[in-house]
Amino acid sequence: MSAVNRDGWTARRGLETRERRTLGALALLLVVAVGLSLSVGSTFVDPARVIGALIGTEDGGIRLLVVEWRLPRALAAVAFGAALGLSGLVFQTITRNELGSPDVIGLTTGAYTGALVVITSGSGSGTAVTVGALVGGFATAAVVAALVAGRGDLGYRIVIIGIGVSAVLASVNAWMLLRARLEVAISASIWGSGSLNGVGWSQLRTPLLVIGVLGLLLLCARRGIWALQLGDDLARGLGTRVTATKVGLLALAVGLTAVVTAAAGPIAFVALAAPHLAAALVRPGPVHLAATALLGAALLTVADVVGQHAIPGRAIPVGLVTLVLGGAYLIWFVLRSARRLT
Amino acid sequence: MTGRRAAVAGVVATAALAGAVLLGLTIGSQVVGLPTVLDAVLHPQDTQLHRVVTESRIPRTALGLVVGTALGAAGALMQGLTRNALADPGILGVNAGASFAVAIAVAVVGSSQFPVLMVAALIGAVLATLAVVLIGSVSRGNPITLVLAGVALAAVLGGATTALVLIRPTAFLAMRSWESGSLAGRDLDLLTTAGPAIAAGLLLAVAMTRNLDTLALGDDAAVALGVDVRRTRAGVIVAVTLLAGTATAVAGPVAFLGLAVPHVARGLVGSAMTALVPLSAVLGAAVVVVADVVGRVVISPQEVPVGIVMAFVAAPLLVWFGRSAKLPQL
Repeated sequence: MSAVNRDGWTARRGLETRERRTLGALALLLVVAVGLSLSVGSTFVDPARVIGALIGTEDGGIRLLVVEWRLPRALAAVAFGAALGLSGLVFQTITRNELGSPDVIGLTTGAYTGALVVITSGSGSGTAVTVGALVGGFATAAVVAALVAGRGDLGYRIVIIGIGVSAVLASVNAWMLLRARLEVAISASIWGSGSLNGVGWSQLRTPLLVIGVLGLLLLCARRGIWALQLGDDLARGLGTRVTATKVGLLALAVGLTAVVTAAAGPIAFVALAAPHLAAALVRPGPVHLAATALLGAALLTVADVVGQHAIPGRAIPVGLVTLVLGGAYLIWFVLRSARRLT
Repeated sequence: MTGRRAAVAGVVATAALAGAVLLGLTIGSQVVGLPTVLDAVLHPQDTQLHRVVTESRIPRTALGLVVGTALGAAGALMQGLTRNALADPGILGVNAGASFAVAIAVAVVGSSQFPVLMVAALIGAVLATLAVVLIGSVSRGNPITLVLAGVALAAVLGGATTALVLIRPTAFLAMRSWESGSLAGRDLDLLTTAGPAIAAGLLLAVAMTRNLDTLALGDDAAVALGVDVRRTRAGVIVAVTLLAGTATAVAGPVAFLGLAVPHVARGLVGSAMTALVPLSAVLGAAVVVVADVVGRVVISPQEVPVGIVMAFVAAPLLVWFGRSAKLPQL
């Protein structure tokens, strides 16, 4: 039955029925979440009219509300959530560490630092902020990699190192925000908590394009991920150029995190949780990648709906929702695996 | 021998503290000579320099001393309680618990009276400390587990605090500088409320150190030696709460001080709590006062809050711990 297919992955050809069902269920979950975010709000739009607005049979106010105001935000949550989930999966694979995700080891904070440098120096263009976030993310990745290098298998210590780096960067971020004028500080601290407020079509074009390109590249490099999930030795045995693959994948993953951070601010713990939850549902390999993307998208969409509507009249930035819920998840995860950590 | 080492360390730390106070009183956006400082205290006149001394330098230095003493001692106690050299009320979420409770008091109750904030901070701190102790017992003495769970707890509480503050824009203004841990613009009158609480915390801490040292031999041995284990733990928890909670109410959340200072102190006098707690208290005071001075001058005329300076300077210690081959054992 089993055969090594041309992806170098020992598996039955195609998806098992159970996995097809799982992916279908996740996709359905995502559709429901998106539907919620399109219909719930200060004006409730019932699902039939939402569909009408999307296919163009509704017009006027409903169309404006659904297509121009709510759809970009929902789309941003889907794309950003998927990007964060995939980025987390790549990081956790490369560090061979379930906690080695970009938000835990300080990359998200570093990308935000880069973005803040650009913003507080007065250059407000979206592209400049994205470039700043990319530079910040790569620089942080390089620093963490240098601090980890040569220490053998650090296990969970990479997380301690990352928390230290992250704390230093967070102090720099707080300092930059305090220097800013109050109006700038209030808006920056909403954005600084990770928010999809004010995301419209025009702000969305660049991030969506970049995420699309990076996602496609990741899809092309998927065999590398699967091979690395088997361990370096086995991957090498399968003919993977391990170091080159890792560097390439890392670049893609840092890019994904940085783009999201530039567009929405630092959003924590989606990158941590989505790959974990996906791993609980499906086996490693191709399905894991798809399930992670779907779960990341669904998580961020639901978190944004919660943030917008949990307290009537007061929107909470989605990053705070993921921080609180994801932090609680992290406590549970760490305590559950207490015996395995060293 | 240990006695002499402790005495030498005590003298050195006291000298450092005196130097720190001198810096704290004289250095700032403008340098005020020591004679002028004395003059301002003894013969206060309504000049600009004298006002700087009496209204800014003295309150900041005094509050810095109190906050530093409290957090230094709280860090050492916390490390003794959890048997973990990475423990710190800031890293493990105790200060975040106090902050969250303060944010509730400001945003929901609508009070910014200091006694109210302090009571809130104490309630938040004791709940968070209990959570840390609970986490510590579930994590079966694994140092990294405790730190990770503590960081996650701090993240949850920090996120909830920010959400509360954003929901109430009026609270945003009140919490803005407080949130990063600052001594600027604090009233010396705070000490009449905060001082006794911290003094009580220190007394309790000192009273607990001997039993805490015995506890380090293991619960069974401690019981055999006549130590009431539960009472000792409870006493330490109360002391940590009084110290970290009050310090947070005064200055906002200041992290990493309780990590770094006991680490340095341990290098000087070893890990016996009887020497470690007092020395950490003195060194903590010196460090906070100096960190406040650094924050005043580094981008003068603007200021960097002391909490940010501390994180910037002391968080790399966490990186160093992560890189070291063996985690320090207590």
